[in-house]
Amino acid sequence: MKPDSASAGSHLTQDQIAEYLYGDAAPELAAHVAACPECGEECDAVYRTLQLLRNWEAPELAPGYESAVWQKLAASLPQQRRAFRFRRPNAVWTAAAALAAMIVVAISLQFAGSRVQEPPADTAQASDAGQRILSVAVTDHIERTMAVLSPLVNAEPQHPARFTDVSVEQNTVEDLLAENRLYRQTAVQDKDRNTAALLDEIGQVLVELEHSPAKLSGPQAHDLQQRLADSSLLSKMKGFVSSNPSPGENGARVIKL
Amino acid sequence: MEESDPALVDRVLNGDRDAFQMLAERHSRSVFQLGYRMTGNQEDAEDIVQETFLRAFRHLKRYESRSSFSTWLYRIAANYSLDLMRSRRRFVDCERRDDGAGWLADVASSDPSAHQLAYSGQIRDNIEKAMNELTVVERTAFVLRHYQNFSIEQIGAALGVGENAAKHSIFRAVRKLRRALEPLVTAV
Repeated sequence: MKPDSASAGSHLTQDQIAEYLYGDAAPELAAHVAACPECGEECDAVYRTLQLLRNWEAPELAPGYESAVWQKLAASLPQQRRAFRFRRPNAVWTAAAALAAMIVVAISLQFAGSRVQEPPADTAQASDAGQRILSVAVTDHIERTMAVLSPLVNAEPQHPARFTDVSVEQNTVEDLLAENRLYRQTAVQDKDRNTAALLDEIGQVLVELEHSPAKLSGPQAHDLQQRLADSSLLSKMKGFVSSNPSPGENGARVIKL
Repeated sequence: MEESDPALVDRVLNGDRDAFQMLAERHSRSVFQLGYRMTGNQEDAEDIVQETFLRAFRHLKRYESRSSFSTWLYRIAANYSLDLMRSRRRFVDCERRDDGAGWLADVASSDPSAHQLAYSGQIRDNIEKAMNELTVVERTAFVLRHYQNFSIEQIGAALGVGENAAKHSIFRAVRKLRRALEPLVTAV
C-alpha cells in the first residue's frame, strides 16, 4: 500500500488515487496511471476495494415495504404539521446580526469621523473599516476556538480503555461552528483566501468534534490529537491571532460579538 | 406516464396529500438504503426513512426544483443520520474491543481461499466493521460520494464544510477502508 502523503516521490499518493478513481483528477494523473505499473497496480487494488464496497447492500426489504412506510407516515403527518416548539435563536443568525451590526457601526464611525476631519468619506475607507472589524471578529472567534481545542491537544495520552469526556466542548462547538460558517462565507466573498482556508480547516475539526461521541475512547482521542498536530492547525491559528491582534491590545476600542 | 417529482411537489404544496404518498412510496427504498449505509443498522434506517419524509413534508416549501428531489431528500436523510449517530454514540462500540487482536486479525488469519471468501455474511460483517471505523463525518462524506453520487460541492453543503474539507473527508475514508479491507481484497 502506498504512503498517504506526497512524500512518495513521483508516484501518486493515496489521495490522488482516490481522486483519480472518482473521476475528479487532472488528466496528467490519468496519464501517469497509464504509464506507471506500480501506480496502476495500486489503482487496481483501491478500485477492487471500492467495488467490494459497491456491492454492500442493505438487507432485502419485504414486498409492500413502501405501503408500510406510508401507513406509518400518514399517521404522523397531521400531528407534525400542528406541532410547534420553541427553538432558541439560531447561532448563525445571532452571529450574522452581530456582524452586520458591527459593520454598520464601523461604517458609521468612519463616516462620522470623516465629516469632522476630512473631505467626504470614500467607499474604500468604509470597506477597509468593515474589513478591520471582520478581522477583529474572526480573531475573537479563533481565540475562542483555540480555548476549546487546546486542552484536547495538550491532554495527556489516555490508556486505550479510558475515555475522554468532550461533552462540555461539544456544547460550545455548535455555536462556534455556526459562526465559523458565516465568517468563512464572508472571507470567501471578500476573496480573502488565507482566512477562508484557515476557517475551512477549523470548520472540519469542529464538525468532527460536534459529531464525535461525548466520550472519546483512547484511540479516538489520539486520532484527533494526531490530526490536529499533523495539520499544525493550532500553530496556524496562533499565527493568525498574532498577525491580527485584537484592537484592545494596542489601545483601540474592542468590539466583541 | 409517471408524474415527475417536481409536479408531485407542486401538488403537495397545493394541499394534495396523495401526491406526497406517491413521493414517499417512490423514494422510500432508496432512503432506506442510504440510512442503512450510514448507520449499518436496519432499525435506525427505518427511523431515518420516517424522519426524512416527515422533515421533507414540513419543509417542502424550501425545496427548489433546480436540484433533484431525491438529492434534496438524501441531504435531509444524511443530516438526520448525523444527528442520530451522534446521539446514539454508536461509534464508540467499535473502540470497546478489548480482545487486543480485533476483527482485522481474524480476517487476516483466516483461510484466504477465494471460495470461502465469496461475497457472504462474513464479508458483509467485515465491511460493516470497516465502515464503523470511520468517523461520522468521513462515513457520511463517503456514503454520499460513493453510493449517492453527490458532487464534492453537494457533500460540502450537506456537512456544512468547504469543498476541500469534504474532499479530504472522502480521501481519509478511502484510505481507512483500503487499509481495513486489504486482507479481504487481496484474498478475493
